[in-house]
Amino acid sequence: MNTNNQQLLKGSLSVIILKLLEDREKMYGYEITQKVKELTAGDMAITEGALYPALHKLEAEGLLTTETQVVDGRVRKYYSLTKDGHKQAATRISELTSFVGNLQMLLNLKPSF
Amino acid sequence: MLLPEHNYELDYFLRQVLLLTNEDLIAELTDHFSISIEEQMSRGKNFPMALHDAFEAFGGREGLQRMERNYNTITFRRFDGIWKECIQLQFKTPNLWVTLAVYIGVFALSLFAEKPQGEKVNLFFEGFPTGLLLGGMIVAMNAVLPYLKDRLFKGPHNPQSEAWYLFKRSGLFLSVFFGLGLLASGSPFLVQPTLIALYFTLLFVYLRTQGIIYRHLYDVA
Repeated sequence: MNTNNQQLLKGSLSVIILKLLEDREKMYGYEITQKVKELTAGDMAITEGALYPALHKLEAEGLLTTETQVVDGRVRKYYSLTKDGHKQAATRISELTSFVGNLQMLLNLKPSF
Repeated sequence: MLLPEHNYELDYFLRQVLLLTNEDLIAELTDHFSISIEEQMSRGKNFPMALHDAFEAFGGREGLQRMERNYNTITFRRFDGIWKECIQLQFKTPNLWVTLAVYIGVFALSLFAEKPQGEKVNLFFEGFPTGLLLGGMIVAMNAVLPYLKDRLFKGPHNPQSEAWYLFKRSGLFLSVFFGLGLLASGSPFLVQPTLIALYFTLLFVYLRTQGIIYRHLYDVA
């Protein structure tokens, strides 16, 4: 993935996380990185250096809650949406969808002059 | 599954090389690094290479130190919640009776000890908060000096999370006590015993709950 794509992805990372968690109820960090890769057929990759700060920020904002489970002798931290997180997810997804729609329209338009 | 020596090396790397101290973050990173390393090793990489690649994806040591600093705000908020609960417990029965006894006892003592308040009482209440603040600063320096020494030899890194939390919060409490003590020392008769009693009751609650928090943070039985 090139640098421009990385920048675009960074701006919409929190929405991607909220959307994934809305669909899957609970996920852990590594699972999120793999899911994004899988859904975009490897076209997009979230770096861990961007993912975890975004997860922690959403947790600090009260949009995500966490629970831990012991898996293979290790503590695994699962993230899920809070009630507020569900509301915010719907709002942010709709905002981003509308923005992408407008952007698409603008980029497809040919100048009239 | 990673071998026990790999788990040891990973833990050593996170704590001793990257100098991370936030236990919640270390647990989360250990899980992430382990899965990533296992996956890379299954594709033929050796452990050191897999560890290096997993580490680079986080933006190196600087990126992880920054992540820990940000993560500390979440951890500190959780600690604050525990401390707040402990303080609230001191104002609920049966602890409330002890807190009230301290307040009434100190109030009665300061009311009847010397009236109207004399020079000695004022001097004591000017001196006590100052002494407490200086004592707190000496204790704090005792904790800060090893960190500064460590920083000199191992390079810039975050202070130990639990110690940093206690340092910040205790600093705040001691400043409040210092201000309240000074206010009490210059107050008119009858207001003074109220403030003095409040001062000592809050100090009592602080010392009592600080001990509980300390034991909680450091898992002391």
